[in-house]
Amino acid sequence: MYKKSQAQIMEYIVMIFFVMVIIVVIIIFLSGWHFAQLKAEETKDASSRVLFLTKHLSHSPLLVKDDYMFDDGKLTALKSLGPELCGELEKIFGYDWYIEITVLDGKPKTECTWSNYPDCNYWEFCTKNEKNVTYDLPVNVYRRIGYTLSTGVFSRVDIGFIRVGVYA
Amino acid sequence: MISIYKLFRIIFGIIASVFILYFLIYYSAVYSEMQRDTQRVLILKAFKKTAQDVYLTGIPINFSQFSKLEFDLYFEGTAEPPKLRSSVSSMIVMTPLFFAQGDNIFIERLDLDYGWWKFDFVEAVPDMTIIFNPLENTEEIWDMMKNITKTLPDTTNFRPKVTFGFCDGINLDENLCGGKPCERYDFLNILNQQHGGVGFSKCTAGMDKEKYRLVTVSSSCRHGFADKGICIVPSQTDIGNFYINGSAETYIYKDPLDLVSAIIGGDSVSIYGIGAEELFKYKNKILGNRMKIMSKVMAQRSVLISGRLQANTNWTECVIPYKNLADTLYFGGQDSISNILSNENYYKNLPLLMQLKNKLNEARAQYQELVDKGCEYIYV
Repeated sequence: MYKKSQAQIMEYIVMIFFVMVIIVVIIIFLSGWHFAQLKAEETKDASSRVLFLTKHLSHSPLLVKDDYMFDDGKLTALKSLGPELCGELEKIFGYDWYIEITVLDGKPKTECTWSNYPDCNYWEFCTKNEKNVTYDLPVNVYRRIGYTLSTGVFSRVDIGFIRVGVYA
Repeated sequence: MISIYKLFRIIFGIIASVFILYFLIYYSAVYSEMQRDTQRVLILKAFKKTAQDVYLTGIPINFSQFSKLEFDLYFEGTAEPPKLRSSVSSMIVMTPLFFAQGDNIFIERLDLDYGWWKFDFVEAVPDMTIIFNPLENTEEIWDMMKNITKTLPDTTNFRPKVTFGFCDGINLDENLCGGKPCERYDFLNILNQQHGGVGFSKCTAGMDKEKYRLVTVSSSCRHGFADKGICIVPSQTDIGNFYINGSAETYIYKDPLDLVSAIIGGDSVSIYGIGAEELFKYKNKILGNRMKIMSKVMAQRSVLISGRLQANTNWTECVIPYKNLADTLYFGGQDSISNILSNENYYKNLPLLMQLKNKLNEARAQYQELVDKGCEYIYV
């Protein structure tokens, strides 16, 4: 009689234990699912940020003549702002990003500076050697000093691409 | 007779069930609150994305997801960087945004055109009625009302609505367009009509602070003159004072967006202060920062291009206008636009604002000269 009761009590305790285990597993599963969702959201955030930044930079009058048409004069002028430049750009576009603009003119890559403008085809801003998520996009580049004739200096539009990155 | 084993079973069963029940109820309550908070964060993100899309594309849209859950939002524009705060999270907003809370929001992009640069911004507003109370009948006042109206969203064919009306004493004249409230386009037509002999008395009508924005325009405006909204002193130079109900400060306006930011912000007080004051300061901070860097870039670009034009050709027609523009924007020392804006409190200083206004007019004319001579493109 005593042993039977003891066995039945044990049965109850084991049953309760398993019920608790099931509840804990459900909780762990739900929490895990929740955190996985947050993690996925974070990854999605990084890609949507870089996509927005690409569009924002390609629309900003600070860099472009028209939407998706970068102005080489503005880009070279921006380079001349010196060490304060990235801080100023971060106030407008947010933190931890970079941009590279390349003109596809078949010539070797030459970074634009005050002295070699307009015989150059590449600009980069705020680049760092860090892990990043990038987005490439074909764009136009407006060359203010496009070609010179006896009647004057004329502009032209070249094809290029931009690479925008957000540091992870 | 109940055995000890049965008694144990009952007591154990009660304890275990209470424990499990408590645990489940507690966890489901926490989990459902967590889900609601997640939902709030997702709605806030969707709003930010919508506002950014409007900023980039210029296509107006309405946003109604705030009606799904209870929200307590505040746009903290003067924070660095500017943030949209809710009870559960905050979100950085880098695009210029003038926001007033509501269940349904209309979002539209507008701009301030300076000739050599355009400042794009987004207005996100709920159902709102702008009530004008002009206490004198002068051309400056009617022009000011037109400029304010043009700088507010046009909600034709959209919901929610931004409508316009007048207040005369205890009467609110809201249904001025065929018995219906006027939206921007129709109200501008009313403002363009002959208004000789039209007179209004000081507004004493009761109105809900959330929906109505009272704009009193009078040369008698001073602290406490209007007990609702904002009170503007008209000016022939487009620069003048205005007052916000509940604030002891005297503010200076120099463009319609100064006034519109205060109108959208409203005179409701939150733990962060008066909405109108916060948006007005935000507007001047963001405009000042962007104009400062833009003026430096445009000035450097002008010097760069004029230098190359001079070096490469005999075509020197553009060189002098480029140099003049560069001086006005950045290289002109104390008087340059960039230098004026390097004072963080430029918008509180009347002589500086007068100087800025003159320089902006000069820069506009100089850039137009470059466009007319074929040296520059029209900024669209």
